[in-house]
Amino acid sequence: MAPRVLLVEDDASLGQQVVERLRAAGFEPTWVRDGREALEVSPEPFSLLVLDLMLPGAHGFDVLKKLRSASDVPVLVLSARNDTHDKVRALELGADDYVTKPFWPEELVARVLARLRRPALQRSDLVEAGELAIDLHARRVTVAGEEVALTRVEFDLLAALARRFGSAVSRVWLVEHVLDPDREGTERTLDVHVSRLRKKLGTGGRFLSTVWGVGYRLERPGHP
Amino acid sequence: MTLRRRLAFTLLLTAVPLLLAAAGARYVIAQRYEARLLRDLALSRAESLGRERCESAPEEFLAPPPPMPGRAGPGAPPPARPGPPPPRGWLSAGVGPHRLPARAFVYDAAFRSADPSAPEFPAELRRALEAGSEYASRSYTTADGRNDGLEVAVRTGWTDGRCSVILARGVGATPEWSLGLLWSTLPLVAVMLAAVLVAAGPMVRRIRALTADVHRSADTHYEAPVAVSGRDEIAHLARAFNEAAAKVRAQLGALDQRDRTLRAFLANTTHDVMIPLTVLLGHLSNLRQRLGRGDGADDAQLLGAIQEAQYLASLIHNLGAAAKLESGEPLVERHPVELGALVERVVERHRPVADPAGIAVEFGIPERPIVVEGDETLIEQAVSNLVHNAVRYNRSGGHVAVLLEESPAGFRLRVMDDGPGVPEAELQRLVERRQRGDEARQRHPYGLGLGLHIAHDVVERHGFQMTLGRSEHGGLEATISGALRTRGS
Repeated sequence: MAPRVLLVEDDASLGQQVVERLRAAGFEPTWVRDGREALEVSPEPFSLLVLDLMLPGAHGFDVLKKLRSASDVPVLVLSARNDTHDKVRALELGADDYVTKPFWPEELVARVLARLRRPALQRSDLVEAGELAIDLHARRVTVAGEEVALTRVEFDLLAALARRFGSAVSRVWLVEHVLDPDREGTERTLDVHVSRLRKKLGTGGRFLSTVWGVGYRLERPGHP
Repeated sequence: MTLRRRLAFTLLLTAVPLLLAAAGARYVIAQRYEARLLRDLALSRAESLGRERCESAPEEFLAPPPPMPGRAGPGAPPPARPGPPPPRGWLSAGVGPHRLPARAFVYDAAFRSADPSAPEFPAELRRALEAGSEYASRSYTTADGRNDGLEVAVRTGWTDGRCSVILARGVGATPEWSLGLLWSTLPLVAVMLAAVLVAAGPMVRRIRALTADVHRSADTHYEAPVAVSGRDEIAHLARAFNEAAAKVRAQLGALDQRDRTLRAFLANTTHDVMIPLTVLLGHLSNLRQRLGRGDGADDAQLLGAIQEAQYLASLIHNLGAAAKLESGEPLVERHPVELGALVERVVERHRPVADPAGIAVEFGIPERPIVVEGDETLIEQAVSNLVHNAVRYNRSGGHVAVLLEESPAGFRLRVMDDGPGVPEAELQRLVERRQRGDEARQRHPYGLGLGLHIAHDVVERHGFQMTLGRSEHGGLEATISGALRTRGS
């Protein structure tokens, strides 16, 4: 079932755009245009709330306060003013994130996805991407069910990326935390380890991407 | 009430009660003096006549003198008068204000008199003598109804017999006589009044002059000072006014400056915003024309429109930041700012423009949150400006990376690109020279105008450092570094 998102936005054009974008991104949006009405809506069925602050009927802060007294549903605030005070106050009142107007629809959808992805980020010992499976606890890696024999450094490298699946990890961090400090650990050594690892993983190697200017990332291509 | 009228009124208000009190005191003192005089006269007269004479004929004692020649006319018979018998007892009343004859009667120790014409001894005086006083006096109403009689009772010292106590009657001071003092001082009071009014003249004139000066000064927006002369309170007032005027001038100046800055800012802002808006309108118009001709949308033109809109948004945010920074006030908003989330937000804002342009924007942040203290809006704007420049002046197939790392000193945030970069000379100029606001406003050929200026300002205001250099990948690399938020701050 598509995750339900509650949108509280008084502007007709902006609201319509956001609703369309959320629907296109696979969400089921419910649109409320008035602050008073927003105070009445039960947050129960929603996975996330997108809240404009300047509303007729009741201020977004009041909606946020009322909501936070009863629910932990993630709240993404739309901040009209580029005003630090508003943002800080919204965060203090329990908002999880904010987007400053003007924003690109893609930007908003990315923030919503990031917010919904976050709770699933909980550590799990098993990380899977396509045919690649990494068991962090047993230190075992399989590609399409076949176990791949890795050196200690290679496994540690893969495990470090798997723990932050989807995020780019910097080369400097990997050199410092994965490579053997006794041996000469340089970024070049790291690159050599990565290329060996890719080779060993075979088809599973395509999940290990090089991130320009940053380092490496384990991800499902096309699903950032 | 004018100053002069108030002075005159105050003078009269103090002088009149004071004079009345003086007259009252004079009356009391005169009365006391008369009483003593009457007592001394009675005693000395009794002393000189002797006790025997008194005891033998008390009614004759202190008899009045024979009629003074010329007083009632020589040889004239005593005038026959009705009412009480004529005064018999004698005391020379040659003192006191009225010089009227006094009379005296003698009484025994029980205050009884052998003289049938003697009045009943006044109870009030009797009580005073019995209480141990040597003598006592009181006012009484004389037979003719004038309330200026004075009675004095005194013990003779002859304790037994018929002559123990003398009651002498005379004339005391009158209230009218006492008030005479008041009338006599009236000219003096008038002279004083005149003196005060004359003395107040120069003072009043100076105050009037000062008032006119103050009006004049106010008319010239407090530019003209008021004249200060002398060292008295009026001079102090003039000096205080000049000091206050200086403060008012300074405040007016500051307000004026703010007003001018605001006007200039508005004018510049309008100008800055109109250019990209015009370009955007041009793109949209061209697209519409192409669609009308059936040519289909031109992707490059669409991208141009998108970039122009992005530039416009960034410009407006930058102008807001500039207004905040140029006010010169210290940063009010200081809150914990998590740089990782900030980097993620900035990158996601630029991706919708970078992606269709074929520019990959990547970011790397550490797992552990990196928290600094500052104004989140301003820091985000600074980082956004660096990313915006890196994207805007890159080409299709190019890369931009934002890398946030912990460093021994705190944090290091790098924005790198592999675009054409900035010529060495230009880079040197950017790094070494603080750009002036006006210059930075211009659309810089390398896009390093207002955005970079603001990034630089923000970094400086937060106590961070920013360096610009050549990226190892060929483009530009901007690095911001600084300290983390200390615990508890």
